[in-house]
Amino acid sequence: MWEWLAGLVWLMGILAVLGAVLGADERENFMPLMKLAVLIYILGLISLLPGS
Amino acid sequence: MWELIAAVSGPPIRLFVLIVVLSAAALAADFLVPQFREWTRLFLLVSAGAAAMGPAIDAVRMMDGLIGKMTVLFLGIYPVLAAGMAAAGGALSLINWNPAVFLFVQGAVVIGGKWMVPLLIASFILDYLSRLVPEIPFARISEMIRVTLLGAISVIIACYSLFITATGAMAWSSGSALAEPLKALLRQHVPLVGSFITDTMGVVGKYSSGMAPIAGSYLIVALLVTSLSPVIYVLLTAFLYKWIAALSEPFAHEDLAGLFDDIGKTLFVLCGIMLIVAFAIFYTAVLSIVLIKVIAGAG
Repeated sequence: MWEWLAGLVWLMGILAVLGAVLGADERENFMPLMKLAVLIYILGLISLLPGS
Repeated sequence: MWELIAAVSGPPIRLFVLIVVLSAAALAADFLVPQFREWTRLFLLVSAGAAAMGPAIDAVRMMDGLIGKMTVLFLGIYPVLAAGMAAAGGALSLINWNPAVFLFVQGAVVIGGKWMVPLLIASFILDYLSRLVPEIPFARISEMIRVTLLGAISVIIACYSLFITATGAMAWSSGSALAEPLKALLRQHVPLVGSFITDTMGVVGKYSSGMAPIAGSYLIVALLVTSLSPVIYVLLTAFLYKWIAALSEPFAHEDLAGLFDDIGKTLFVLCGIMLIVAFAIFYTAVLSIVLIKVIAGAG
């Protein structure tokens, strides 16, 4: 669980920096892509579950 | 008591001073270079957020250390205690003692350490990430973790009450006129865990009123204060976070105030877990005293 949480912290940190680089308006456009990255990461958690 | 309050309030007060300084710097930066507002917010959240986690993680670490020590202590003491109480038949007739209680107390403490504390740390991290990128929130997951933990704590405390009521001939006899308004006050004004505190007070009260003639009132009071001091420590820390959130709301970034509020909420749940451990310490100490009394009486 800790590896997964550490990975999530890294991902969100990268997204926060990316959001600051893009600015408020551009961030709005890129948000679906950022959410997709989080979705893929959460799917990775499901694949860690036993039996999947 | 004052030493405890001073020890608890020191780190949050330093944190509040830091928040004031960082917020002033961020406000000045926002005014002078408004085009870097996003970066200012990010730096503020990273620096203040990292500082804010300090006292909260300290409280969790204290809890983790306490649970580790208690688990080892209980593993060592319970077989001796169980064998001694079974051998000294007087103890069984004295408190209608049930050996399953030991298994339950040990299980509750282990569950607290293995599952509840890591989940609580995950809840802290998810709250922080929700504030860092507000468009991708994890608020519901961390709320779900808190609600699940509160449910588990309530079940464990209810089981404690059941064990005492089903097996003990103890009755709450002392100071009920004073205790009832106090319980109502706590239940209404301590967020999230107020009812647990009053339930635990009731259970400990039932037990201690029955034990007082055997163990002595002063000893019972000393045991209560000792076992409940970690709970008071965490409760005070949680309230201080709530206070920092309230005081910094007018001038600090709204995400920062929200983060403090969330940390306060999570610490109230930690307080509930602390109650389970406090009860285990109290219960074990009282049973040891009963055993020693019975053996001394028999000898």
